[in-house]
Amino acid sequence: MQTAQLVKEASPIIGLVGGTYFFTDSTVARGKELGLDGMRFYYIGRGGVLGDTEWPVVVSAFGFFAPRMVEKFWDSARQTIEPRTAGHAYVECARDFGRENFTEVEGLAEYCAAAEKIVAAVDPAGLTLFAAHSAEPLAEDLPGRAAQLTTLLREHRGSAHLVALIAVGLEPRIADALASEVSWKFHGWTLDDGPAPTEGDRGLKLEAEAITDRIVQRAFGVLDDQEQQALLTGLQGMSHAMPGAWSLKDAPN
Amino acid sequence: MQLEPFINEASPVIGRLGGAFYFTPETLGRGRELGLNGLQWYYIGRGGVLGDAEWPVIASAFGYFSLRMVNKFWNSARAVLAPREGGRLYLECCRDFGRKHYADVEGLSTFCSAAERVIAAVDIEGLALFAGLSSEPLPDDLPGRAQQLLAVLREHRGSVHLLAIVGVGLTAHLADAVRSADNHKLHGYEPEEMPVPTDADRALMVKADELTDQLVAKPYAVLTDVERDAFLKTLQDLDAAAVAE
Repeated sequence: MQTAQLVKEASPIIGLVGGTYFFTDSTVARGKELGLDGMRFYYIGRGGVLGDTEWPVVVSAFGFFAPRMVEKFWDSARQTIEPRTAGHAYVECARDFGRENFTEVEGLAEYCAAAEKIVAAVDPAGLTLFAAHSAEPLAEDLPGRAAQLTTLLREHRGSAHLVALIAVGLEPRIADALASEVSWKFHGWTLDDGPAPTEGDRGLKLEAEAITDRIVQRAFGVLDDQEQQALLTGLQGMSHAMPGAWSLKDAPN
Repeated sequence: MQLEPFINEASPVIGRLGGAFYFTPETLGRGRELGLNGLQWYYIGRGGVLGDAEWPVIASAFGYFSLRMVNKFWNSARAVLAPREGGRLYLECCRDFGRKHYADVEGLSTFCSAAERVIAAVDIEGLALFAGLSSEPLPDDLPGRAQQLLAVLREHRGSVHLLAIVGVGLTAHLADAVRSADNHKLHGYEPEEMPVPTDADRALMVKADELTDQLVAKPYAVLTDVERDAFLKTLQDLDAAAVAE
């Protein structure tokens, strides 16, 4: 299979499977135990792998989010918990998502091997959030490991997409407005935040998608035919084993 | 002065001055007092604004350096000093460089105000190291403040350039090889680890440089032509003062 085709087939599934743990009941409950509501645990958890840094670094690494929203949730969450501690707990939620849903999925050992090969082939330069997540140790058990690796592949594409948008000159906020109203609101933007996207912006977004694909393909290109198949089989197995309420259209951005 | 020639003239000076404190005898002496050699101090000092991150985050934000080199120096320095503390102490060396050299430079107040307006106009998304350094408080004295702002503007171009390299489809390692085959020494690679760039890679590097200039120019648009003239004049005076003993 051409790498471009592999990336085209794999990316939507990675986007869904790799981000669903963000707001599952189990994750939100773990946050509550730590004294954090869902949004605070999301920011300090997903961003906590970066370290005890100031909120602008989190804005720079996440992209898409309104800076005032990152500041509010990051700074208030930081008063409750150390970012690295929260980051470890959040990664554990990602692993637990796999343990809760993927124990019956076949081919996870081969999936993990393929995913780890991709992750090892990534040049982390410029891909901050991916780099931070990739530094966390992988779970020993296959369902946990497979789920964690899928979040890593998701952060890889996300970090690459952020770079691509800025490279084509499209503000991530505008790209977000083009993606969906739900996503735009989730990221903290309001109608007061500025101009509606133009037709030109749509063209730039397509250009950015193509660049994102090229960056992602560079790492996925290390897989041979058998490994490509193992990656897709694992992803399809996990997507079929997702909790019933989730489908591709619900994938958080 | 118009934006494009201004960027062409200002960028090399900002690059030189913003990093001029990294390896001075004073900075190295401060590192030794803390128990760090020059490279450990450089990594934990420059990267410390990012927090107690693992070394891949530093590799991602710095770019160019071999992963094993970042791993070695970041982790050994972290065993001596907490990163945020290292970042703050290194920044004080930055300010001290300004205090030593810029006390007699005129126009610093105007220069600092202009630099601060440019920095406030930067979209920080994707620019981790710039975002980290620009979050640090500025000192009240003008020479120290001017040097810190120069360091922030330098990180701005550096972070943008890294983003442009990845955005055009190169990697930092390839870009490094295009720039100079000798870069392996500085960035911790064996000569045989340096890729041999193709003509296509070289063409992408030209594109990355153009994109860098274009993206770097954006926030400087908040300055008028006259303000850019004044900024450049002070920048040149600072450049002359930086090399004077």
